[in-house]
Order: sequence, then structure tokens, then C-alpha cells
Amino acid sequence: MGFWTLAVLAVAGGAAVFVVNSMARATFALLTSLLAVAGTLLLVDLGYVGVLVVLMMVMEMLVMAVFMIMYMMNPAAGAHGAEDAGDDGDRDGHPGDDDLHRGARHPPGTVRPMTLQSFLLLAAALFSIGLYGALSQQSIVMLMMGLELMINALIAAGGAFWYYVAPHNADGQVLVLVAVTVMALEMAMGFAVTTAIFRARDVDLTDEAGDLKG
Amino acid sequence: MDEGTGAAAVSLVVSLAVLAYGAAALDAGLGGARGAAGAPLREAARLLVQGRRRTLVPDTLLVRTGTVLLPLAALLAATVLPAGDRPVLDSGVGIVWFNAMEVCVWGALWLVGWGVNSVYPLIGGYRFLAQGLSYELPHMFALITVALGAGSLRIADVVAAQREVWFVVWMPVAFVVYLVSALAMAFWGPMGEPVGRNVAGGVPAELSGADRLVFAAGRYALLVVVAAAAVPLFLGGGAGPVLPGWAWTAVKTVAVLGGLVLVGQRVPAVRMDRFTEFAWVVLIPLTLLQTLVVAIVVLP
Repeated sequence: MGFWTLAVLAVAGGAAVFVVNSMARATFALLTSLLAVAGTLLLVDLGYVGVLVVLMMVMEMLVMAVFMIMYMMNPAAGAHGAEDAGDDGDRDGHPGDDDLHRGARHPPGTVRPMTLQSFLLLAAALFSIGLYGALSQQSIVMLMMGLELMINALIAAGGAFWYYVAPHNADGQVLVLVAVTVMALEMAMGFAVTTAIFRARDVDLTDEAGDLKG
Repeated sequence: MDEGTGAAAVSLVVSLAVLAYGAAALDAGLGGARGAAGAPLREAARLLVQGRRRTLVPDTLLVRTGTVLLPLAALLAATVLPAGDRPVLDSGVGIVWFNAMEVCVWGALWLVGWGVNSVYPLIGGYRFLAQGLSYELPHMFALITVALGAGSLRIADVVAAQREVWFVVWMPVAFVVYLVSALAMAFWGPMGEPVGRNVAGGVPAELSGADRLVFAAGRYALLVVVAAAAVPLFLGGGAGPVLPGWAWTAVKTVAVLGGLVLVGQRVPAVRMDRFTEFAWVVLIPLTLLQTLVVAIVVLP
């Protein structure tokens, strides 16, 4: 039950990023999605990693808010994506049809158990929304939000793979930490590049910075 | 939730409220108000009957979220602190949890500052972000030092590790850095620029009525929580002669809280651009050295 609530919240938050008409709301919709995924990590015994993701993401989104205002003084200008991103985090994953799923101890018929498939479904939904955002958005800040959503999907999938496939090694947890680091790196480098090009040419849209296109 | 946890949760909320009220009353008293013991009550009553002011096109959703998030973050951070024999949430990663919940305050202040669509609150919100980026790294290193000394992120284990010697004795730098960042976390006193007078009250400047009451209560609750966290982290938790554990926890919490309120009244404001430099150039290396010392001591 908890998982599906969090999954719907994560997907709805991700979709809202490209639907709401205010950059502040978009940032905090993204934060909602990230925190919901952190919540799903707590469900699969990733206590430390889950809380760490909460800590990291709150700080990261607040730093993003700083840059958001810096480049988009009209706060509503960037977010005009159409509402076609997937919001189907709650489709079923055929419980009980292979040996990977550990939810068999739940009584049948009450709540669909949490399985690897359900995690992958969540990850696929988040990745699709992120990909849509990264392809459709012109503003660099919004584009980076799409990238963050894709990495968010990676975090959910990484945590689930660790729990369901290889819980005896810590490799999967390290994978999640790598994904979180990549996210921070993406922010740091992305905003460094954005700041440089904004200072040099007053550019904050991707189409105006297409010089290197082959 | 079993019965013991429920009772612990209720006692946590009650003690948080009592201590927050006490801190507000002490602050009013030190500020020279007459009848200081009832001052917070009068202020609360005034705010509750006050009409709600509105700014032009505010983002009400974000303002309400931020306002409620402030006391909520304080309460959630407090759940891992052991008041009596055990905390409400006996998490194996209690220290990280405390840190994560305390960082949520950044979000709360920025949401309120942005949402009301007014210039001074926005400046206040940005000041708090700058403050957060300054204090957070030394603060984290102070927490890491504690975790390293105890060999655990569980706060109950941290308390147990101080049975012989309190951490404040052999981690004085971490303790002082923690207290400085405690002031910064609760944007209190010298670190109170996000709500400073030179920006007309900063973040909550446009809040009125019940919203302002919730914000103020949340700020005092946060001050109590950051003071209370110093007790299990550095001051041996409930350890002490004669009195039971909860009483010692209360005594130590009140002592730290009183100190913070006193500092808030007596020390002038710190400019954040100066503090940022000081934090990154002086405090981070100092806390790193402290961590090194602790690491050498606990090396098996």
C-alpha cells in the first residue's frame, strides 16, 4: 500500500514538473517526486541511502531554486509543457509469477504486493517523463529537471535491483550513491556551463546555443 | 505503533510545546517585556484574532506548505532524540535523519519567502539559503565526528558511547561548531538575518494571523530541537547522578536552550558574507582536524 502511494506521488510529481505554470512549483513538484522515490528506498531496507537521498535532494532543489530565479526572472515563462506525460504508476505488475518477487507472504487479494516489477514500472514511468522533459523543454533549467527525473528513475531501479536481486552485496547501494553523485555533478556542471554562456551571450535557451550542432 | 511509542510521542509533543513556550517567554523577558511569563500567550491571542493580510497574487499553496513545514520539520527531527529511555523513532540512521529534517527548514523558509510575492521575504529566503550553504558543511562534519566517536549513526548508541566520557570533553571543537550551526539552523540571534530588522522582518514579514503564529511557534520549536539534540550528541544524554534519565535530559536541554536564547539577545548580528568565508576557511578545516583526532583515538 505504502509503495503504491509513494509511486503515484512520485509519478504525479514528475508529471507536474512540466505541467504547472510556475518555476517555483515545478521545482517543488520535482522535489516531491524525488522524496517519494527516497520513501520507496526506505521500504526496501535502504535506511541510510533513503535518508541520505532526502538530505541531498532537499539541498539540491533549493540550490536549483537559486539558479532558477537567476535565469528566469519571469517565473512562469518556462513551464509550458503539454500534459501528456505518463501518470500510470499504478498499473499492475502481475504479482506472483516468478521467483524474483518477495511479496508472496502478503495475503492475496488485499493489496498488490511490492515487487521488482512494480519498482521497474515506477522507474520506467519516471524515466519516460524525464525523457519527455529533456526532449521537449527549451529552457536549460527545465531541461535539467528532465535529466534529474531520469536519474531519479535510476535511483529507484538501482535500489530495487539491490533488494530483489543481490541483497547480499553492497554493490547496488553503491550504485544508488553513484546515481546521487551524478545528479549533484549534473547540477554543478550544468549550472556552471549555463552561467558561463549566460554571462557571455545572455543565452538561457537551448536553441540559441546550437552552434556546435554538426 | 505500540503503547510505549504512543506515550513517547505524546510526551515528545508536550515537552516540545512547553520548552518552546518557555524559550519564547525567556526571550520576551530578556528583551525587557513586562509580564514576560504571559507574553507569548498574549502574542498568540493577538495573532489568532488578527485579520489575515494578503499580498498581490501570492502563491498560497507554497506559502501554506512552507509555513506548516517549519514546525513539522522540527517535530520530525525531534522524533529521533531520546527524551527518556528511548526515542519515538529508534532509527539506525538517526543522525542522518536529524540532519535531513533540519535541512527541510531551508525549503520551508524559501517557500514562504518566495510564495508571498513580496521583496523583503524573498531577500530573507535567499539569505537563509546562503546561511544554509555556509553552516551546513561544518555542521555535517561535527555530526560525522560524533558518529565516528560512537561508531554508529544510532543516537541511542551515541548516548551509550558517552558512559565514560562525554563527547563534549574530547570533541570541544565539534561541540562549539554544533552550537554555532544550531543558532544558524534556527536562524536565531546573531544568525537571525533571514528574519532581520533591516529587511523589515524578512521571511515572515507578510505573514499575519494564524500563519504568523504557526511560523513563530515553528521557529521556537526548532530552537528547542537543536538545543535538545546537543544533549544526546555531546552532553551524555540522560547520564547523571541521583535524578532519573529524563530529568537530566530536561535539565541539560533547558541549560543549552537558555544559553542559546541568551546569546540571541546579547550578541550582535553576523553578516552572512563574512560568516561564509569564516565557515569555509576556518570552521571546515577545524572540524576536519577534530574528526582526524577522533579517528586516531577510536582507531582499533
